[in-house]
Amino acid sequence: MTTPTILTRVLLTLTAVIFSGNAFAQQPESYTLVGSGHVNDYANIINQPEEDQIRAQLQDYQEKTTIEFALVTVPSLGGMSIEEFTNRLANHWGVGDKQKDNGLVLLIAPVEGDLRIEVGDGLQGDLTDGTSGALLDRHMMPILLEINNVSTSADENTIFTKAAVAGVSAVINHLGGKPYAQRLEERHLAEQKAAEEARLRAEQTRTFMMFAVPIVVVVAVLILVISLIVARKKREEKLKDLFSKNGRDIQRAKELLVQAERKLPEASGELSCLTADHPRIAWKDIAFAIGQAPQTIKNQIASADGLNDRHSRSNWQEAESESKAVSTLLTAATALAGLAGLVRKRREEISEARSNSPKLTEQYSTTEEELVKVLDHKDVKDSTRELLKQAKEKRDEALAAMKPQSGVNWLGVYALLTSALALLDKAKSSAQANKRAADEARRPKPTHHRSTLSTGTFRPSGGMRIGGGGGFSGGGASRSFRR
Amino acid sequence: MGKWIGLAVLLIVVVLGIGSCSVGSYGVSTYNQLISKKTNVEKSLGEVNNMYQRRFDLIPQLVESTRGYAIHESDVMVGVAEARAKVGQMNLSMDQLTPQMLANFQTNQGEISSALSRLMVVVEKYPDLKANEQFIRLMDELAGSENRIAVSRTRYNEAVAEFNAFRDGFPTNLVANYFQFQRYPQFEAQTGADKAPTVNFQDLRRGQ
Repeated sequence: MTTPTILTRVLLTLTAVIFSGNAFAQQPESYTLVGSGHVNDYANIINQPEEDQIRAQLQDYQEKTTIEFALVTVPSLGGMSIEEFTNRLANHWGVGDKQKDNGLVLLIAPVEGDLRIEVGDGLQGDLTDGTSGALLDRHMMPILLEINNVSTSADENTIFTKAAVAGVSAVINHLGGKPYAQRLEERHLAEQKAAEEARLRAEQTRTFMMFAVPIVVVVAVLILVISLIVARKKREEKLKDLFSKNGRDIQRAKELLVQAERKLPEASGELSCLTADHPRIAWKDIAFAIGQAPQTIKNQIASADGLNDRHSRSNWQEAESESKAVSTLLTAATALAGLAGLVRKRREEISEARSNSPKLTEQYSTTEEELVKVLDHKDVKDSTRELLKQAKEKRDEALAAMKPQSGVNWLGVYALLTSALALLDKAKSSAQANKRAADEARRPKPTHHRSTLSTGTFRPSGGMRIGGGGGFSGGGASRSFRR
Repeated sequence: MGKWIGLAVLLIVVVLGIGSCSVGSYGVSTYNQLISKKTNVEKSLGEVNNMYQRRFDLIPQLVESTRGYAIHESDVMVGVAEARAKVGQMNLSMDQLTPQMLANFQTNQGEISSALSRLMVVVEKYPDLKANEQFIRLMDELAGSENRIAVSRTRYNEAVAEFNAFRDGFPTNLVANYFQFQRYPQFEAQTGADKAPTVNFQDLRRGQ
């Protein structure tokens, strides 16, 4: 019967899948690689010269292609299906490169009469399950089926050896010859294409740069020049405005000075009212200013005339330096013209301070009362309490200053009371800050964890040996040859 | 006396500090290990899905390859197509991985396996189809698929066993419970009704 027993094989696979998990004595994991691992004749069915020949062929093949191809024969499958046995063995040995998963295992189980080629995950594109089956059918099964017609073990071994030689060569011919060269060719073409693309990209970039860089430079220079011109224009306008303003200010200063001269007697009159009712400290600065005023006004008028002279001879470019002198003059003139107003204002201030001081004293005592409670808290620092003491001193000083029947310096009293109140405020906010800081310190701090580092693994590299750690997930094909 | 009390308090504080630090770092490393083992389960589950999907995609080709043969119209081919349709694009995902879901999945996929088994038996009556090269290749692909399914299921079960064992150990289970890591179910070896055909297959094989 020439029909391969493929269908029964598939049936067996289906049932084996359902009932896998036998735990018989001889586990695949108990087998170790023999020598370089290319030929592992545990069933002792491969004849000697051919065994060496196959080993040399497989080593040579690995050297050329890095594909690890292991031939295995076992006396027993330990009750397992050949699929499970081969897969576990191949993964246990790690046939193939760890990265490429390019391993192949051809396993013959003479006693069970099973045959399987297990294909590593990385080779399944080149050697599909269907192709694997076809290779077994065409090159190995016709030889192996002869087993059913012989009786001595020597004859059987001859058949197994012939089948192994044919199978190994068939797989290598299918994979190694054409597809390997093709793979190289494809890789070469891909590299060429990538290089060509890179060259094109570089050229495009260069062309782009050739245009882009000068354009960018020109645009940048243009923007710079334009912004410089605009800035200059703006500055010129500003200076021109300033120049005309200087002129106006000088005129105004002169007017103010004339006005001040005219109003001087009025100011003196006001001052005499002030001096009558209040202690010297309240009016001495104003009295001094009024005493000096006639001379000062004369001087300022002279300097205003000088500035006016200079202004009429200069142009807008000097506006900036000129404006300083002008603004000094204008300030002085305004002050002189406002002397009478100043006296009036001082009198108003004094009367306001006089009427407000009792109110402030009252406000002080209520605030202090509140604050004393706040300061009792244990979190408040002594430096904060010190502020309260300072405030009290100021208040006492103010009260003492209010004592005399006449000539009370109300402005001084007012200032003392205000600063006492300010100290109280400061003490209040400082107490709050103290409390917040204490709360913060009591709160638990977050903890930090140390991260763990993982260590890498490495595998020492060897020569042309089987066992690079390649993975298998069950690809390949199986046949049975015994009847 | 007061000095000794102070020292004792300091000692207790230090011991408590070291203790809480080591518990924290133990928790982190256990959590990381749980995650890494869970990732293994997820990867192997993805592989299981891929392999079932591969078989699912092969069936239309198989049906097509029998076109022109008498078997094409027979009940057994209809059975294969129906079993396939019933499974549909069923994929298992990590969040729906309950024992119930896995059992359903396995039952439905098992029906495809049974239907294919019946097909194998019937095919023996069609010698010309058995000699068809394309059909043989598809059979090999199908056998490869079944085998890959078995391997991926075994790997999944191994990953799950490792995860569950780690997850249930003490004190890992405290961390696992805190972060709500669930146990994962495993594929079971099927029982009962499916066992019957095996004998027939064996007989068939010997009789050939």
